[in-house]
Amino acid sequence: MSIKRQAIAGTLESSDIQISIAQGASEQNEIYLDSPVKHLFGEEIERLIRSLLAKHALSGVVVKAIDKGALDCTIVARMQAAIYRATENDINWELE
Amino acid sequence: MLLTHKTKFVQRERPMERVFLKDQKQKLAVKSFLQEHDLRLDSFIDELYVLRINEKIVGTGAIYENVLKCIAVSDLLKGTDSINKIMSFLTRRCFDLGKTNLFIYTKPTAYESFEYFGFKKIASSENVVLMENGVVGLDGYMAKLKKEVCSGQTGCVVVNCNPFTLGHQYLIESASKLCDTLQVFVVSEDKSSFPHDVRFELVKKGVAHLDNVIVRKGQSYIISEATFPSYFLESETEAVKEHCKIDLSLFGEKIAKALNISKRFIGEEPLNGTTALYNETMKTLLPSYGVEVLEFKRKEVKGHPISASSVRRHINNANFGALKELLPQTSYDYLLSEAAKPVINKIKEEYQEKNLV
Repeated sequence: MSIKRQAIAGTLESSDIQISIAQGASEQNEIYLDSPVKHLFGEEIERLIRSLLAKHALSGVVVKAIDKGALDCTIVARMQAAIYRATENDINWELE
Repeated sequence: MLLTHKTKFVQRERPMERVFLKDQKQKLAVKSFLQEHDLRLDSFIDELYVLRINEKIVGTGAIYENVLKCIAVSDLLKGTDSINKIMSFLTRRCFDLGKTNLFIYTKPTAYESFEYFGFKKIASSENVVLMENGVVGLDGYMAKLKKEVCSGQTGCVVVNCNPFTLGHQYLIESASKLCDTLQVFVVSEDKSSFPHDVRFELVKKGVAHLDNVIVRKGQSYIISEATFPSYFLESETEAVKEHCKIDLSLFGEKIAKALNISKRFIGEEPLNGTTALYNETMKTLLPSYGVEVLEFKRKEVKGHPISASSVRRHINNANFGALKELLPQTSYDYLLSEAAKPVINKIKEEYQEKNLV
């Protein structure tokens, strides 16, 4: 899949995460994470984000994630919504 | 039962509500709320939103182009999630409007609270900090610039070119002789009679004969609605001075550094007040970043300095004889083309409006 436009999902409220996705300049996926628990779960959150990008076969994407203490399920949901909007592609929600 | 339900309903925080500035009563309420928080309600606002509890305003936020403004929250709600609600709402609303890279002007004492919402400081003066939250943002823009970094002495010219005249061509030609590579930035903001794409193309065509010139888009980072809002408005000198400093420190600290720019060339500005002030600030500020500022006298035709505004006046009067003397062949050909008709009509409309005022 490819990025057709910049997209955003999620809010900046407590226990949520705001994800914005855009097409990057290089081939690699770039992730900018800002989180109050970065020192504890930063790597884990990044790994989760990368795995979701890989799942949707996305590369050369810039993801900016502003985390306010979201649980994994929230991160997955926000990532999927952001990807869905950015690729203008229908996700088969039942398979996810 | 019914009563408790009703009370609850009244007390619940509603999502943000749009307020129209035409509504004088509402406008006054917002104005006094902002005054309590040392903020000003200026007239350059596209959309204004408020947060209310029990009809009382407890928070505000506004959007103008891609800049967020007037963000305040009542002291009673400090420490709650109200500010998060406002910021979430505004960023979301902007995304829906297609504005993906947002800017905020704030005080040096308050900028850290915006870092919490993903904003990053990109330039500052003593009184103001400019922040942005783009996914790609300034770093992305500079990465793009760096792809074409050239060795040797690099100079820079920033132009709006509304439209490209022989005066601009003269400035760029003279500047290109004084350095190995000349970076020409064309202001991207679409606030001029000639749309950005056209201005950019005319510059490109007009300097095509010069080998060492690279023409680029200034985007949001050189004289834009974000870095220099008052350039496009007629506002107080204090604000203009502050904006000059922000725009130039961003240039000196980031862009000039990324491209190894050591000289910035400007044309003398006897006419326009804002640009003259900008040039003066440049002469005092840029040398501290290792950028030398060199000023050229304007090229004259028949004893008058060439200016883009006089070109627009001749366009309005359909005085093609005079235009031929002021424009390079490339710009002149464009004006005669079919594509230029909407632009010419726009200029005529602008003149009609001015005459009515």
